[in-house]
Amino acid sequence: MTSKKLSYGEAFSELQSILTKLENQELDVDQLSAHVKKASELIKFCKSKLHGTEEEIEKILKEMDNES
Amino acid sequence: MQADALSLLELNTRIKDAIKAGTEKTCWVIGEISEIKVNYSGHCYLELVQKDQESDQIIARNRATIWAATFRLVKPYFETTTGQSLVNGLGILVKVSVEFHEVYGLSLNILDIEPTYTVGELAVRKQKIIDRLTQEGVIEMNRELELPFLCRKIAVISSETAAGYGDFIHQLQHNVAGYKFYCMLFSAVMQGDETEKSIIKALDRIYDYEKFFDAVVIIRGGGSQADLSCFNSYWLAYHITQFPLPVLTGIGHEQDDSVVDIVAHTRLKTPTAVAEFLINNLNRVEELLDEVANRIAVEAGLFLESRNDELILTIKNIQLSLKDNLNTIQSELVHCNNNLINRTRKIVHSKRLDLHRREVIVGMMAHKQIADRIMVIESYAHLIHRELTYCFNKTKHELISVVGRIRLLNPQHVLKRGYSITFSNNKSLKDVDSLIEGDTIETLLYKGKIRSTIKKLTS
Repeated sequence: MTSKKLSYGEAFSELQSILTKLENQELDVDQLSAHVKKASELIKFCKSKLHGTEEEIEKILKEMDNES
Repeated sequence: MQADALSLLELNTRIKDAIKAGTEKTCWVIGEISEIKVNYSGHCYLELVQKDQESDQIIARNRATIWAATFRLVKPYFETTTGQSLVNGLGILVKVSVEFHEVYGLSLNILDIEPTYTVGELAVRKQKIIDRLTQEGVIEMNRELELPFLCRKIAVISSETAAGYGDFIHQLQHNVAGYKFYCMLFSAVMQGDETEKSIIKALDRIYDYEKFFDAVVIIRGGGSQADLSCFNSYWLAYHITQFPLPVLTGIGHEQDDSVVDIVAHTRLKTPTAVAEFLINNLNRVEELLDEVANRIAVEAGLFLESRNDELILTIKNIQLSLKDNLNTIQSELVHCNNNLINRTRKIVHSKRLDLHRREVIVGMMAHKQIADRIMVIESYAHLIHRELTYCFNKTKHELISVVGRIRLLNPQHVLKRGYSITFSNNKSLKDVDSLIEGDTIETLLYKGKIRSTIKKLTS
């Protein structure tokens, strides 16, 4: 799905831009499904950032703990 | 000379008397605590100093004691009034009696403390620090930092054993919404003289992981109401203003904000309040997310609906225009049909008239022709009749003459005149060549027949 480096802020602002496009009716029917799909991926990503455990962070914390 | 010499006790006694005579029984004295300790029996021993305002050099110093009975009373009063325990560096106004003991020397016996002085003194000192930070233009710097959207990697400065730290961690890890926080403790001394240095050291360690963390939290266990002065430290406050991450405080005091609180990004009263703040922050972030998600869903729905409406409208329009077309075509057809009928009628009528006219003409012509023909035929008939009559008559005359002549040729007439005819085998005989003697022959006479047999032939 989305690139690994994507931050929550970037994902959220992308969601907002999709919303803006929808509100301004800049999309046609063919683009709609792609954008809605993208939005649902981004929402999933954001939710996982909020609730999910990121092993990468846990690892860094562990390393930090060992250093101090 | 030696005879004049006093014993040490005599001297000390004189000093004691002189002091007693030369000082008030009790007096109010202003000083700064430079050392303080409480022994096991509850007596408090202090060292009071006065510093030169310019050079900060100590220009006066005295030992002082608060006896346990007094200390038990003044300590809580002082602390609740000032929000501050008796610590080094604190300026105090105390009621003392000057005591001189022959063995222990000079000491001030503290009988009472006036906490309002300390309150004022602390306020002045705090204000000075605030003024300095303001003048240096740094006081707002940490507050101006933006809290990251997703604030969940937290560097915690606290004392490891503090109840407040445990509460903080517990609250964060057990939040109802199930947000995931990543906390790392950078333990520090949170009260007393070491506080300033210890917290600055912790900040320095966090600075190494600046890119990793979202925020710094400075918390101290609740309950220890007192000892605020270490958080009114210029250097600690200055460090916080210069720190690249937002600093959140929950130092656990209800009254005044410390300077650290003032320069911090966000000031909260207790560690649990900090945890709540962080959780609420993510709550808000998630609410925003949900709102955007909902709006996207709604907008997408509306979008589809409006496209659908457009479609329905288009279909209706097509149907209407089809109906219109059909109606037009139908009425055109009816019109054509009527036209056709009318025209056909007209044509039929005119043709009929024409036909009738022609019929009349043809009738007249036919009559005339028939009449003509009849006349011709009649004239022919007349002619034929005349011709026929003529021919008949002529032929009748000819026949009559022929009959006369034929009658003359009849064999009967010949036979009558005596001639006869002989037949052999019904053939008339003109010679005897086909006859032999003994043949039977018949001879026809005018009247009757003779049957005879040939006896002799002569040619």
